[in-house]
Amino acid sequence: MNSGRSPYAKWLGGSAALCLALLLSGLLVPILGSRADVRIATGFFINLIVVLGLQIFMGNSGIMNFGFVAFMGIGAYTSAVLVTPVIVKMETIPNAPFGISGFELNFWTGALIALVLSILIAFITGIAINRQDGIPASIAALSVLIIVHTTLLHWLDLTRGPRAFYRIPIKTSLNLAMVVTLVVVVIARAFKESKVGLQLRASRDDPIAASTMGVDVRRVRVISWVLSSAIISVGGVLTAHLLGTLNPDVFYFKITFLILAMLLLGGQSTVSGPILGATLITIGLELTRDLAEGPIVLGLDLPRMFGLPQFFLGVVIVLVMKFRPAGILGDAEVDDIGLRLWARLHGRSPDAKSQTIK
Amino acid sequence: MNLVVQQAINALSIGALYALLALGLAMVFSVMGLVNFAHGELITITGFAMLGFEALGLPMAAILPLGVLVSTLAAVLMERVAFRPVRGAPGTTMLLTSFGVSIVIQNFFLLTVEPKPRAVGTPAWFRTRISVGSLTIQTLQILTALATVAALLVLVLVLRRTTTGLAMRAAAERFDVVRLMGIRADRVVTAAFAVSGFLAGIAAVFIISKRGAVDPFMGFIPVIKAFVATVLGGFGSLPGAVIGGLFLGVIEVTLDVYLGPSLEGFRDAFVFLVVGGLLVIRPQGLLGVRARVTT
Repeated sequence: MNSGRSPYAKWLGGSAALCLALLLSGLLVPILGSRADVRIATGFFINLIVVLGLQIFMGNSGIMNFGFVAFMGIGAYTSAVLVTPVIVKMETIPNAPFGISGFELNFWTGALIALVLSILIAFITGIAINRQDGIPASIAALSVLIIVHTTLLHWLDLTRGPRAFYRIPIKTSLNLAMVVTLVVVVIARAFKESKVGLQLRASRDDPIAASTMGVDVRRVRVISWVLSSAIISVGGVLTAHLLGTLNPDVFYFKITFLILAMLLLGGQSTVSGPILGATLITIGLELTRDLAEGPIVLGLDLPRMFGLPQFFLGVVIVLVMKFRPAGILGDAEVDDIGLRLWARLHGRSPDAKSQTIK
Repeated sequence: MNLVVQQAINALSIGALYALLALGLAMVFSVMGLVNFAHGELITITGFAMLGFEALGLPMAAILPLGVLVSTLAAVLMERVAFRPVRGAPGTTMLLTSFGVSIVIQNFFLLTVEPKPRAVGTPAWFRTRISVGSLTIQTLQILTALATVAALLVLVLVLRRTTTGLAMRAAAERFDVVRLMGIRADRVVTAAFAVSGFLAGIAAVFIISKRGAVDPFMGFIPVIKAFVATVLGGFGSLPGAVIGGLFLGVIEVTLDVYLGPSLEGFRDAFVFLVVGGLLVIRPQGLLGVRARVTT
């Protein structure tokens, strides 16, 4: 630690820098861009919420979570069935359980209930999953996704299953998604630097040493799992009220690949990494979108290419794992990079970089 | 009584498929610490290869063994192209690599072949039923069980009677020591992938015969169940993988019997709930030993 610099100043400065960059882009898009750009930016912020939520568990615990999309689904559907007007529900889900088709809540109450339910489910699954370690835990997390997906697909009275649940009130604006993202950036960084976050990172690097030092590894894993899942469910709520129409496949493979690629490309052990990864992948997908939709090249009308974006996401994951397994940023947060640059500019050797536990 | 026997046969024929897949996963995991997410894509590759051979007009007697051969070669190729560069990397790096490979293969088929399921021909006599007393058994079920037993016997012979087999068993214990004994690592790893591809190919032939169609994402659910089987049996144990697979078959068939038509669609959710519950009670699985906390 540099002399005289408070540990809070460094990470708060880093979070502030990230928030400022996101805030600027969020404010500039509606001025400079089209309606389509605003929609893309809103989607980008929602993805960012989910990828940062995922980072809280995966990045700090070192345990892969392939099942995180389950909580997007739980959040989205809970809020959707609660907030959608009675008049719509009488038509779409007249036989819904718990009398859900007979009342409607406002958006904020619905979102809050979705969040509480997600936390509850996260707590139960978190305890069960964290009875396992490492790869078995990852497989257990994936099982949670399959349980949730199967339930959403077959609980026809509540979700209409594959026939899609529609006319969900559109409540997610660019500004709402952006504000939530900024809050999540600070939460993610605060968690990483907190006592529990530090204990969790210590257990990731050496579980035995960490437990010898008094870290209750399973407890800190469950805490981060619940926090992570809660934030991901908020991303789900915002998705439901952005799209207006849901079907269970929205919360399955495609989004899993997308979010994981964002996290891994930028680097999962930092908060800055996922933001960089999400930005790069969003730009990359937008640039190649025309290609996937089947462009007209030299008068040739190419067919629509299903799976092309996913194909590239898979290639990105494989290449990142081969050439830079820790992601582009590795262990460095923006503040670490900033301090290094500062030191270099002032002719000092870069040993002024922080000594926080990586 | 007859119902019990009938369902036991069903459970055995389903469990055998999971056992074949789980054993391949455990084999690869034990030699190089890789959890191969792309294992399920071997089923898809076999399926599309069978479709291709059928289009070429090959007889059924040739298509089935050729399908298994393609699966074996594909597994070896997968290791050579994608997994050798990350060998020795942390487990999560390898896991994510295989996850990426899985996505690439799925979407390769989605891009090159149409996304809709395609019918694939299988021998008609697979579907004939044999009646023994009041029992009816599909030929396919008997074949699945017999082929699984035969494959396991061959595997045991290879593992016990050949040098490579000995090296593979030793590698499952301590890979670095095997290398110190002068055994080439590449040979052991390639052999493990070949075996996993061979077993997956056999499973694939039966899975495809049962479904009657192939699509780019067909490998996902079977491989997840195989994963669950390896965890259920005791992660990293070869006999555990087989027992976990068979046990998973028993759980599925039992649920099929008791769930009834209104809850039928939820079967997989219940399967994973039951397995999850068992693992909460016994985290180390059926045959595993409870180890220290790891990441």
